[in-house]
Amino acid sequence: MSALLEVKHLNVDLNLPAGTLHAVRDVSFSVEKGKTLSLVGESGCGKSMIALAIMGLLPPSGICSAEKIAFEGLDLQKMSEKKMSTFRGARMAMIFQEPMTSLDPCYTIGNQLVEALTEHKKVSAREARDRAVFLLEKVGITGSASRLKQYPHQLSGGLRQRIMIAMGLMCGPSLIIADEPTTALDVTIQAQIMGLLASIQQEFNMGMILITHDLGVVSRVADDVVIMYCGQVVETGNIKEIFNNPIHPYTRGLMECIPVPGKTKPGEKLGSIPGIVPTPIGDLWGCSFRSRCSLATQECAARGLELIKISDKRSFRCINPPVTIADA
Amino acid sequence: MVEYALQTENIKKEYTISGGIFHGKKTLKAVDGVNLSIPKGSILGLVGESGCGKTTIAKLILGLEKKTSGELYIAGKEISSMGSKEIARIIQPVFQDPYSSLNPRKSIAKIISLPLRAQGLANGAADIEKKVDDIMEIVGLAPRLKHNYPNQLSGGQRQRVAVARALIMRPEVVLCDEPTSALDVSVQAQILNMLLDLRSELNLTYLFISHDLAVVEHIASHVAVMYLGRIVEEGNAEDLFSNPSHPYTQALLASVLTPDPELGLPEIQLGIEYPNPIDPPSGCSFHPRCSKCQEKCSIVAPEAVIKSGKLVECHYPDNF
Repeated sequence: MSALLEVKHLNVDLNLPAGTLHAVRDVSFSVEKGKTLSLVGESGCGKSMIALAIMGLLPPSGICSAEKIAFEGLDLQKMSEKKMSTFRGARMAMIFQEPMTSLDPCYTIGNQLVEALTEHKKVSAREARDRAVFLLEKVGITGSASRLKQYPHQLSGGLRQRIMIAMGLMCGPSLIIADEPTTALDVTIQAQIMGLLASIQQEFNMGMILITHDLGVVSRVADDVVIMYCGQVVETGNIKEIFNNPIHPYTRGLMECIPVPGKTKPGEKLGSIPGIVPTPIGDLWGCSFRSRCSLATQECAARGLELIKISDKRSFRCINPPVTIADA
Repeated sequence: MVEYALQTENIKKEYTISGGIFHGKKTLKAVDGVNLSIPKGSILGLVGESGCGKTTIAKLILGLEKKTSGELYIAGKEISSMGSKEIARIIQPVFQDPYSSLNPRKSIAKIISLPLRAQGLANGAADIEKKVDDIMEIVGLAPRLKHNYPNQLSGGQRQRVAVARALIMRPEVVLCDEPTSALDVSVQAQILNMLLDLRSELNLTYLFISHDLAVVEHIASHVAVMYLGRIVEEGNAEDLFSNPSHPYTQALLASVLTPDPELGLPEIQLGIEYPNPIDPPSGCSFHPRCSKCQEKCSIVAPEAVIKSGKLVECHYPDNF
């Protein structure tokens, strides 16, 4: 089966006054229909830049180069801006982190939902409204007809995020990119929204890219995981492989950082990764994690560290892995 | 006898807000009769969803808001008899967002030393400098950062600056309002470890406000669960997490997504809406969202019951 979205050797550079920031370096992945791929990493690791590059929404200082960004078999890089804008929102939709800032406070929910559809498709206002009501019910909003007349400020954060999801679905996209969709929400709402996204994705057989730093969320909904550090992919694999047998020291460090009820002892020290994430500006070489890695040797500074592939989906970027590959 | 660093007795905070031109004034009960006591040297975790009144309690304790009624004792003294400087000497806050809680136009040394200068506790510039150096070492900040400005620091470093500023006067109580929720996971672990170390080194008492239950379970010795201005369950951390009695605590615990690929997403029976605090539900304020709700719950508000050190406010609690 050919992939819904295929990204090969994607690089994103940002020209800043301080120099060129290599936000994304040589990232490749693919998303299949009905599957969820999760991009995981700390802030500044380039995960949101990947989403923006795919959507063609990079800031003016951003330069994107890739061997291939293919969506439903079409090369997005060669597409004109006009053609791209018919794709954006229609074939692929994005859900952002902040439901407060991504809805327009001056228009009603109904206005904004209907516009999402009439912008892309020739449908009557009534049809668009019917679709909006249908989708609001799908995302679990009751009394949807009266909700359409409300403004964003009249709704709670959880409701707003549901509206965002409904808006993303208006045109029936085949790919949905969710950028930290639950970070701004309460834990109780987070579980509901993730459950909703997952079930809707299954129902409409969409591909999903879930961008998050929350390993808890990832482990419950994703099929495949790409762990990113400093713009690079450090480890990829199936969700179970990654969580049960992490290879890269960064992945292992991340897992030890989070307190897990029942596993970590209360009051005891958590594992932590010393130091801070380096800024990928200027000429870069070697493993970017070596400054924070306890296993780093001189060899880690060598140029041209490639991803080591151990199976079709599983690969990692480390020359001194703390586990033998046979175990993983 | 247990010495309490902080005690509240039936503390209430009401805000009067306009209900619109034709509706006159309405009362919002942000904190509705809360009893908390934090023994010296312990960590009380205060959890609840946004809008439940956690931060209002923090403001009352810091003396930033005046309570409507009730009593609040800080180190045995009633708060209304204390001046703001006196309160600040005993309690210091660490806020959620280290990006907005540090003055961008002041150097790190200036930010950290401000409490000393405000209180007039230092003897000259040399003394201030020495105290700043000491506290920076304690919280793990490199001395060379002294003359930097907040925008040159990472999130974790900024939060360390906030902690250093809170600790420079050696307060007894540190009030942490979501201190790690704006940070990355690897940095969160660093800060949590540091807070735990500091507690034993400096004999501190923490009031730790958070919505992240995994973090609270890790750090707190006592936990209070808040819902719509009231404490619905309180007890020692181990007991409360292994044996939650209130349906709300159970729902909160079920919503925690621990990293485990074998588990799916939990079924949460909470419904969508957090109730509007201006117009709270009748009877038990949790009843519209409760899966075990019965007829009595919508009519009579439950009384708090204390049994073997655990407080529960529910008509039909589990294992209690």
